[in-house]
Amino acid sequence: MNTMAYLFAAYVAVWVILAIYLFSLHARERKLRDEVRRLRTMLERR
Amino acid sequence: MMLGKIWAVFRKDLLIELRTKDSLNAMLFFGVVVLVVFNFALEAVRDSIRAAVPGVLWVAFAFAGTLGLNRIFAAEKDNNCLQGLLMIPVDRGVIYLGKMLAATVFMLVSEGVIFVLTLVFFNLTVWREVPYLVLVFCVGTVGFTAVGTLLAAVAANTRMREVLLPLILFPVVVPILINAVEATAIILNTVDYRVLRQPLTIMTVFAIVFSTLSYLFFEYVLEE
Amino acid sequence: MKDRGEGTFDAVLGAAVAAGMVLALYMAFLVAPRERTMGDLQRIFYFHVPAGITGLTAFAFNFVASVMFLVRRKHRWDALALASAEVGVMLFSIVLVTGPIWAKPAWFVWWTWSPRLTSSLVLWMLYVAYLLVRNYVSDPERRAQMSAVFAIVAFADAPIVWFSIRWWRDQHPSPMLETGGLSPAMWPAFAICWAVFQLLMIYLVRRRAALEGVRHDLDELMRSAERSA
Repeated sequence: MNTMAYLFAAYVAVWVILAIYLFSLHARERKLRDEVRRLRTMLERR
Repeated sequence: MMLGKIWAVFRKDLLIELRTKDSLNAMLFFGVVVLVVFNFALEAVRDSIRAAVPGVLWVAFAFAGTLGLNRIFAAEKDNNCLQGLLMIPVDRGVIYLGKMLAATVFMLVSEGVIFVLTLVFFNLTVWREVPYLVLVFCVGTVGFTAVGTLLAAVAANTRMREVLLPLILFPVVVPILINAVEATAIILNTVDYRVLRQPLTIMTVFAIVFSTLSYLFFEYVLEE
Repeated sequence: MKDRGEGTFDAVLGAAVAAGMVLALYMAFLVAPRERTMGDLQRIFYFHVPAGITGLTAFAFNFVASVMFLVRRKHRWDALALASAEVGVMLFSIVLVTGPIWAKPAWFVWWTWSPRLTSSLVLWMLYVAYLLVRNYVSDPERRAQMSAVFAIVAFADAPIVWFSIRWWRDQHPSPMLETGGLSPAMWPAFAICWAVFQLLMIYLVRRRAALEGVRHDLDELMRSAERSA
């Protein structure tokens, strides 16, 4: 592998790690919103 | 007066141990297991095995020490002894010092036995090195138990205490491991001991910093 | 949840970070000069080092937040501690992955036990341990307390770890050195990348802390609902 390939790999790695973290944040936020919605409907029914 | 209280806490753990010998047996046996495994693992470098001895020693010490630390808090949890201990109007830091002293003594005893076994298994002779080795073992052990006692209390609060303790303790004691192994290597494998000042200083600083921090913060980690 | 003003601030910050990343890429690839010995490979440096510095800043935040929690006992300090530790671990993961990718073509080995890389590894392990402690304590109050104490231990340990590793490396020197030098021409690109990473860290910590805050409020609500039911 030549130098450029390693450089490319490094930047891909940075993006992948950032993307994984951002995606996990997003997923957790969505799960939380769903839970709030569920709670709200549960309280309205009471 | 405070010394008396520390002695009381220490004596309690010591007596329990002397009566059952649970911890010490486990620690010693584990140390032996580690030594034997390393002998198999290092067969390929049998000729220069003296160079590997410092590392092997401190791995065995660290594992044995972790076992001992686990037991010091596990025993309390099992019989709700901790409630009783906390009802006594004693400064939490005193409990820390007593337990740390017990852990240190147990670990030092294990180290002594493991070291003698190492001499046998690896066919080593030491004579003039002994006082220096004792110094390094003592300082390293105190550093290890200084922070180990605090972290054992933290781990005792969790669901996975025996598993968690090594995971959280080993990264923290990296300075002790690095410096103790280096110091032991200097003693066993070189003639100029002046270099010993550096690792001994770092280990001493570590011991002072973490015994102070642990003494101050111990009340936060004891379970109610 | 967040109020209107805060939501807008975070949206603006997020946009700034995204734009900043594009700028950082531009600076690192097109503006920064080609290095003499390593060529273009050296450009990894513009993301590898800022990630490390920013990770350290995040861990410093974690220390301050942990101390503040023990002093003030307000949950938002605990949320900040968790967020900064998580983001710090993520940033150090970037350091630990890009380091070897840099080392392989430069030194023909994946891993060098160089002081910086080794210290980064131990520091990463320390804060992963912090996250483990948080993971295994069930009660929220005790979790905050235990992890705050561990955070203080970890932060006090960090400089001692650094010195120990550096001294150890001096005892066993190796020809594989870290490249440290920055020529003046490289400074603008480096400074911009560093600034962008700091912004990124602040954005991620805010978002993670807010998430934790909502999670905490929700759990409190559930618990009081169960108690009154």
